[in-house]
Amino acid sequence: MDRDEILWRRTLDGDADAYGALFERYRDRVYTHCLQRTLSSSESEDITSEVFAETWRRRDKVILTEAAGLRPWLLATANNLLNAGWRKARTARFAMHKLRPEDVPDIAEEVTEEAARDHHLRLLAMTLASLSRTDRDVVHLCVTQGLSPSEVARVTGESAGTVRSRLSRALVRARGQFFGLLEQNDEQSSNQGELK
Amino acid sequence: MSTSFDDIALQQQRYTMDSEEAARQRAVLMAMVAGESTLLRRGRRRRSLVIAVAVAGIGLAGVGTAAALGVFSEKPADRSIAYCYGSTDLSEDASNRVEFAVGDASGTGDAAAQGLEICAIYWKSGVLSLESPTIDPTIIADPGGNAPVPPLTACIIPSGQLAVFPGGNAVCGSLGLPNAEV
Repeated sequence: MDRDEILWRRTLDGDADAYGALFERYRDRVYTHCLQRTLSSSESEDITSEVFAETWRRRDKVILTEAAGLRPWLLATANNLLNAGWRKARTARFAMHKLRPEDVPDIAEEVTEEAARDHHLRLLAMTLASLSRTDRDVVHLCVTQGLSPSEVARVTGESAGTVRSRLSRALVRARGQFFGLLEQNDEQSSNQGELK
Repeated sequence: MSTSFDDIALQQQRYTMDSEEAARQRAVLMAMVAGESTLLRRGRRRRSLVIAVAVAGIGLAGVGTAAALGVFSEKPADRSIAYCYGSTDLSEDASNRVEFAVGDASGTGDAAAQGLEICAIYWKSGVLSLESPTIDPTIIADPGGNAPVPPLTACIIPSGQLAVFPGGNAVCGSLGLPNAEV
């Protein structure tokens, strides 16, 4: 299998097959990344498509890392696109101080059948949505996508130390938010049990 | 519940995009790369041509190649939409042709060369196939992009748009259409 660097160089030379191969390699990772934030398969498909189109349009700026190739760039681009639409979506759909896991079915209707069954995906999405933009991005890239702080730093232009310390602080908040959501969920479940 | 945030965040479950949607996106992205690369190469080719003409002088001026071969050619009058046809059937049915955009933002560019390259991708990915007369652009028969590509020729259909048909250089004439001018 050709390395990302080789495929990307061929893409820059106008080799459409090479870009097709990169799309095949990363499309599901980008799609999953978006699904973890949007809980919507159709929205995630649209953003995935835009990530690859935007990468081609901005090909002069693209940065590949040695260990993870094109992946950090694609995921950072996904974050930018998600953040651009996120504030609106968050206002409309994610009033986080009121949100409980069982409040999500209207969103879950759009989710793939597989994803709809996954309670963890919802909890993850809600936890990420409750964080500030900078915290959310670093947790999402480093923890759920497994990128190293230095890989994230390469594509965001920050220092690895800055990313590392932000990640450390953001994780504390993420764990706290997650614990709160679980408590709400447990409380709701026991109330429903009493009603039955 | 004993689940922690770190447990689920590290779970790294991979979801899979719908295969038809993925195939559609792949074809569009590849066409995007192929389209722009054609424009880039065209710039280089034109410069080479200028040099060649300068060296050869004006001795070859006179009868145009197309006219000498008895081939009538035209430029597309409408560059907003072009088509890849799966057969030499001229019907304007969506199951018979795939549409795409040609030219750059300024409305210039070698539409015929660009169209030939884009349509070759549709053939390679199996969206167009001589064996399957009905086109469904959401289905990619060969995701690997190794399906056979027949000889392709760019013509101008009566609406003034570019259309790429399977067949050699004579296919436009056989359909009563002018070749697309490159």
